[in-house]
Amino acid sequence: MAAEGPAIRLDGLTRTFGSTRAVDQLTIEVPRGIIFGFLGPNGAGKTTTINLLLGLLEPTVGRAEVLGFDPWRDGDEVRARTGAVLEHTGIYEAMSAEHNLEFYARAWRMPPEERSERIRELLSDMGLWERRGEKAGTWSRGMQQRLALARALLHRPPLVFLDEPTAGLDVMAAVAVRDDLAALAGRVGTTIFLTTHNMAEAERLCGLVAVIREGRLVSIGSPDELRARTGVPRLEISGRGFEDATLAALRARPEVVAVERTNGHLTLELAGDAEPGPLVSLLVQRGAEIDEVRRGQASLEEVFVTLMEEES
Amino acid sequence: MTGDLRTMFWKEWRSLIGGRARRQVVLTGGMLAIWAIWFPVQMGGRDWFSDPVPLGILGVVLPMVIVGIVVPDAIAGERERHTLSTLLASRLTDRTILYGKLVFAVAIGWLSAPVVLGVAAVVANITAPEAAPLFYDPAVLAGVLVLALLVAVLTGAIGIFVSLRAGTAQEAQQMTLLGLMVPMMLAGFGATALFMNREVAGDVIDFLGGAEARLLVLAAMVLLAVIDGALLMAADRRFRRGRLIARSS
Repeated sequence: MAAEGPAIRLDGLTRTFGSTRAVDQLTIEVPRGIIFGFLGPNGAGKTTTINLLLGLLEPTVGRAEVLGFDPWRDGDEVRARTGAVLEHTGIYEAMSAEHNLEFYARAWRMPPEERSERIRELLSDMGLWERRGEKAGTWSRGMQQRLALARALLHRPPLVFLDEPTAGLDVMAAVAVRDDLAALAGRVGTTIFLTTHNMAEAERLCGLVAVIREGRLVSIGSPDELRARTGVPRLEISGRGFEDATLAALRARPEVVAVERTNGHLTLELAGDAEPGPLVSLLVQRGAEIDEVRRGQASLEEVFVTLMEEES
Repeated sequence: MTGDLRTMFWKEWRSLIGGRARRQVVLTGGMLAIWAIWFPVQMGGRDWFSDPVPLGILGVVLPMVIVGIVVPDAIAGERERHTLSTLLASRLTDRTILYGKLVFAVAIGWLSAPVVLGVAAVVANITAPEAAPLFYDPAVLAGVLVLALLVAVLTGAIGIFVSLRAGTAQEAQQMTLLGLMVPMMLAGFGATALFMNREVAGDVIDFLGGAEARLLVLAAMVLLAVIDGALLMAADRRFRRGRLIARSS
């Protein structure tokens, strides 16, 4: 195993199912110790990519390297060093939470004393220890998801694949899972390969983000880089007296792309590196009272939408 | 490999006792256990021990039914419950997963044969007591138990193939058991029709009591073992992560 080098390296990775290209010429490098966000709409090829990286599917063309191993040729080596929460939690609902973890701890060949200690530690961290004897099928989806996360971390893998871990969770459960992930990445330096639809989640957690559509890579970079590359600079102004005539005057300025007024709040989308000063002066001259002016950035969600629109 | 197989047995046992297959196994096993009481009572003690046909039916059908329920539930059921892909993403090898499931099902299915035959022997001795307790002819008993094992393996191997294609565990169970029961029932109807002619029935009974019959049974067992081996080799080639995941992608 290569101790150095990226956690994941994809080189023209392609997988077809019949005439459909689920993954198309993906070339990506994921450094170790970060949370990597893999974003894309439904059917973009996120789950197929994870299956390829775990050696569960054979690439049609191209190659992948996971922790220095070829996942298709050395799948056992890759799976021995990774944890995964796939599209479904994979929890055995007829078994207790503790037995779910016990089975996978045995599968990872953990010694009995380490097994029980680790299960206790993880279930306690996730706030599930008191209910460990209950059948997992009786639990809420949020609790099952956290149990699945605990299962993926049992053997302290250096790389964890998480396929939309907060999908379908209520707000509180999703926040709890996100906190667990942030703590995990910060505390032990595990590399996390995270697919998600939730842009706020990616923005909060991920150091590097790749956007794919129809199996192809659309963009890759840190959230800030993607915003700088794709997002439109904007000015957010709070205050009163934003009359229609004032807005019309703003729209007439060449550096203003769009103007939006909502509840005493004005958002101006600007062209290039427009300076805010003249625009604020114009507002004041026309009698507007300004409380706050802030340069804003497009959210990752807006960047995502822009990228999808550009592609289509 | 042995430790990993033990891990799979542990998990299959936990899944079985907590899952829906438990109810199916208990219900079917219960019905066959009632046969185990009814047959010897109806036939009378001595006749029960001397006639190998009902003994064979009881000893073979129960393992077949249990394996036909447990194997599809362990493979098609895992896929239906969305736990298979996570299991395949673990470090357990394809073979460990396949044989862990198969050997567990065959073991509990086959073990049901001596249990049910033991119950029948006790019932036969209680309902028609003799001076000394009666028991099965050791050669016949050994034959039935070997046949039970071979049929359990056959059922398991067929169950694997059916499970790889079926959409649900229930569909896989029905197809596996029907696929085995229909030929058995046709053979049963054929034998019944044959026995309606007294002369033919007498000839058959004479033949069954002779040495040729034992050779015929032995040959049938060898043939069954060869079929089992071939099916297991084919199942081993088909039960691969790539195929299983590609099918569900």
